[in-house]
Amino acid sequence: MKRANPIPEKISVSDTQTLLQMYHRGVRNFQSQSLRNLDLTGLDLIDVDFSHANLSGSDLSLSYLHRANFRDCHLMRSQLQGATLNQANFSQANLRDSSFHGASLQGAILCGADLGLADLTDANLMDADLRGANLCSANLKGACLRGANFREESMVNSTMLQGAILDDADLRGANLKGANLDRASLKKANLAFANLRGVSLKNANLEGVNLEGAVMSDVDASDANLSWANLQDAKLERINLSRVNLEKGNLGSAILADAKLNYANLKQANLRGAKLTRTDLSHACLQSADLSDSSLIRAYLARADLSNADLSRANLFGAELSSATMVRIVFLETTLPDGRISSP
Amino acid sequence: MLTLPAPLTTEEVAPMSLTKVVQTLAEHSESDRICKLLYWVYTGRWEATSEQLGPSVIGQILPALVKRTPSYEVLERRLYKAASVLNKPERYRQIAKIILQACAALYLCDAAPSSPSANQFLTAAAAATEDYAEDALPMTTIAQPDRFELRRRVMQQVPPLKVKILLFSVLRHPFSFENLDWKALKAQSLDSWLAELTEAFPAIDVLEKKLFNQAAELKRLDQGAQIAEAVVQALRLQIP
Repeated sequence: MKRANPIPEKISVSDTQTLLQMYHRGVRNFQSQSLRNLDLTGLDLIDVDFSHANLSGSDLSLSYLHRANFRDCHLMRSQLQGATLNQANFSQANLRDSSFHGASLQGAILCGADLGLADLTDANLMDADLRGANLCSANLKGACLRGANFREESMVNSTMLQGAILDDADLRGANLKGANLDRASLKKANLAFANLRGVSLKNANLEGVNLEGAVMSDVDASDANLSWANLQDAKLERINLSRVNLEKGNLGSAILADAKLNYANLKQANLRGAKLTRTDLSHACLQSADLSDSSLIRAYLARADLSNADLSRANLFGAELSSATMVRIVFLETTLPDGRISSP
Repeated sequence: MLTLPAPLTTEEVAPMSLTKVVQTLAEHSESDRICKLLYWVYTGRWEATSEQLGPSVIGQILPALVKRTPSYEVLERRLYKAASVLNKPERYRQIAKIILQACAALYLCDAAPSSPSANQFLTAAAAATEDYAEDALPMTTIAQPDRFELRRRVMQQVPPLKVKILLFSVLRHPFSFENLDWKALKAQSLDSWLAELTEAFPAIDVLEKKLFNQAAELKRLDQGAQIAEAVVQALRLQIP
């Protein structure tokens, strides 16, 4: 939509009524205005320009703010619940502790915005630009972030998601390269085919998460909880999964070459057909794990507990198994460390 | 109230097992509540007085409901879920239990597909349903949805909060925009509201009417019709 010409002279807006009257007269430029604690609920303010304005404490719930400009705007502790904010620009805005519960932010620009402690539950953030945004301790439970971009090309200001709540969030195909998700909660979130290369997920809770086909090379997920997680066909080269809980996790056909899984809990995990070449599995608990058809060439399994594991057709050529617990293992056409094949 | 068709002559079309189940439930001391619960599960509408329903409802609804419920477990879930959203959930859980006990034999029979009585039952149930499905009981059922896909489709059209307001109004009472309702609305995720909606209204046509009617009544919610349309369209895509 074509924007109205900005008003050249200095304007002053002190109440909702004045703002509305001006808007209806065609004024769209409210740059640098002090608009604190205003009740703007349910208003139609499409294309409005609030850049550099102070709207802290204002209520914009259920408003129509398509393509609105909030660049460098001060919106701390403001209410934007259920607002229509598609393609709005929030670059560098202060949105700390504000509420976007159930808001529509499709295609919105949130580059460098401070969304720390913000409530973004059930929000639509499809195709939103979140590069360099601060989402520390923000609540994104149930939000749709499909196609959202978190990737900062320079990697200097990567998106901060430490301690964020992303339970049940839809992050399918999202680009999170280099983001920091330490201590974040991603329970039952959907990250299928997402790009998580180089992401930090230390101490994160990923219980029941779907990471099918996700790219997670060079990720640090040490001490994370990945129980019941689905990592089928995921690319996990050089990933650090030291001390993780992967009990009953699905790692079928996953690529874990050169990964660190020392002290990991892989009890009853599915590792069928997984590529574990040169993987460090020392001290790992692999009780009752399905390792059939897996490649464990030169894997380091010292002191690992493999009791009741299924190693049918697995390739253990050159693997280190010193002091490993090998009770009731299923060996069927398994290639042993010395190259011999166990008899059926 | 929906116009229900003429009572089914189950003796003519159904094997003894179905006839017996209908008879058992019709003669039960709680038959009024059985009628109400079955009607609620099947049509998504609540009739406060049993006079509006009549005893023939069991014979009309039960064959169709059983036919469209593939397993005993699904029937169990559907009945208990429907009971849980009523004012007296515990009482209606007991009613659900009575219905389930009576229907158990039908599903035991169904478990052996080669058994003639099972095939006979299914054929009879199908025939019974086709007799009146067109004008009375639209039952294009919604498949178990992919919750992420369903959520995405709904969100793409309208702000999720507005969807939640409409679903709250359909499933609880018209949204008051007061603090208490806001709290209850936010306590449940959009996924959860959508799941409850599909459980409570398994028939898409009934659900559609309910959503549009509620949207029209809820004056303070703008885009009402658009929200209803977005939900219905997203759910229709879940139907195989």
